[in-house]
Amino acid sequence: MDESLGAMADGDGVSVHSGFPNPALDRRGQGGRLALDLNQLLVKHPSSTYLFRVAGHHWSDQGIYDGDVAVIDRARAARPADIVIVWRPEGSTLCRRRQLTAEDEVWGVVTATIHQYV
Amino acid sequence: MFALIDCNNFFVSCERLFRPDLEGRPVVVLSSNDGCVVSRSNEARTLGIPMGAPAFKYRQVFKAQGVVQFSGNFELYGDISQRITHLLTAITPRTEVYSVDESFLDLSQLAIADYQTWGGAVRQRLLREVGIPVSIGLAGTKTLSKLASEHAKRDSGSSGVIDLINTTPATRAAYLLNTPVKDIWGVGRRLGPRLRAQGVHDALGLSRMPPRLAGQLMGVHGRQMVAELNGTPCHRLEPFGKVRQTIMHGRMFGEDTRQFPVIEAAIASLTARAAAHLRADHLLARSAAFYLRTNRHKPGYRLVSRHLDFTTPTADTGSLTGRLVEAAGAVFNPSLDYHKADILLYGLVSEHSLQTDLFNNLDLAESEASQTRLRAFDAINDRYGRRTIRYAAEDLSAAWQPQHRHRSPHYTTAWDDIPTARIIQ
Repeated sequence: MDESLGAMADGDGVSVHSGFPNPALDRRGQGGRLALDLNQLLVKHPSSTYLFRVAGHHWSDQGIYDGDVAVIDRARAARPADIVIVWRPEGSTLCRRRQLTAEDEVWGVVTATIHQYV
Repeated sequence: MFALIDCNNFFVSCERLFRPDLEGRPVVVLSSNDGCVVSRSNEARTLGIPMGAPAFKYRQVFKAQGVVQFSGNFELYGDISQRITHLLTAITPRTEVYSVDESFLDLSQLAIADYQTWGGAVRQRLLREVGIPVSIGLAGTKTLSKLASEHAKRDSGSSGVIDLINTTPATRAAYLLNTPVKDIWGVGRRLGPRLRAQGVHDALGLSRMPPRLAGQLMGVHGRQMVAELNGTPCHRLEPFGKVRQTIMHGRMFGEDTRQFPVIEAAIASLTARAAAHLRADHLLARSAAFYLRTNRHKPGYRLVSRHLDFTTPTADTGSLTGRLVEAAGAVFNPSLDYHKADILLYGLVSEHSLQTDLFNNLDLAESEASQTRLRAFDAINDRYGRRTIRYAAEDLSAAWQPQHRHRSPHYTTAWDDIPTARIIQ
């Protein structure tokens, strides 16, 4: 069909668009999808990003709730105000970087938390 | 110039990433069905637990020495392996994933001022960003880079990186001298004794073998090995998607069995998986085989196998399963306690090459109908999980359910299993 339109166009000396080119065809490398991808927003470094489930209610006033998903990037250098994951004898815990003790080792930096209402 | 990046005790390192409390403690990872040791920490190695040790023989040792055991969590290891590949491919697209825990990099397109420093930086990035310790060997050939990485792994003073590119001939010779022939890449179980019979005991000796003699003893492969040990590259990076030669799947039974339906279910399930792999790679099999064995560690060990040829190469789960189950039924002996079943598909050909083969008296119409049906079958299973549609013979019997009593959570591959981070006041 495109070919017949093209032939007509040539013959009449008129430009005929055979349709709006589909940009999705140029994006096959990204799964061929046009829609926004949340990974693009939340995961800057896929090979160093891990997800944790938040447990505890103490930080609700800071907008971090029990059951939230924390996005952790191990490739980021921690700044003093960052929330980080450290391993304590009782397991992995969320802390402010500036509150760490000498023996705490940063496992990764929290770059986002995801809170689902429903 | 090549780099070999080799993950240290890879499966154990993956487990420790989410259990840092296990640093410094002996840890082992067991194969599917908790059969034998497939990865061990240095502490477990020091205790004298060999690779491949059958778990049931070492229960006492594990208990007495406080060895932490894990059932294989292959989803986790696969995900971590992909992360490492992703990071390495970002460094250079000239990356060959050699196995789940080893990759070769061709460095010839990179501007590297100092290889030792570069290797150290890559090692540090993988440790910090993915969380996995690696050993790196750098050299002018793949064989030498593999040799260097083995030393980097074993020599605690090496800082995990050994560079054979910028080094003196004497240092290089010392590394070769300290590499027994059996540890050279490409020397298998057969070549090792043959070389030792010639008085060649280490890589230095092999590197000095006249190429002609190497050719007589080991063919082209041997000449190439000698050349590679002397720094002349013979092996390039293998491109992605190298055509497979065989597909093999095997599983141990949950407990030894005398029930034919259990064996039938196992063969059907293994065949379904193998055939799905065939179709994903657009391949057909000319031949198939099954192996049924009793427990090797118990008296009266028996192994039976049958090989089948197909006049028309196939990837059809139905016809493969039918023939294999029928042949298994013919050799089944109800007085044996079967321990393990394996399926092998070989003589693999591309489905495209087949369609142009005029001499093959193939019923194309029938074959195409079968392929369309199977593609739909695979699409549904891809979308809804691997076992959504299956052949009836695959029906799970209780004995066939694999055991994984010590499996860690699927930390990175299942939403219900992601680790917890506690907020403490």
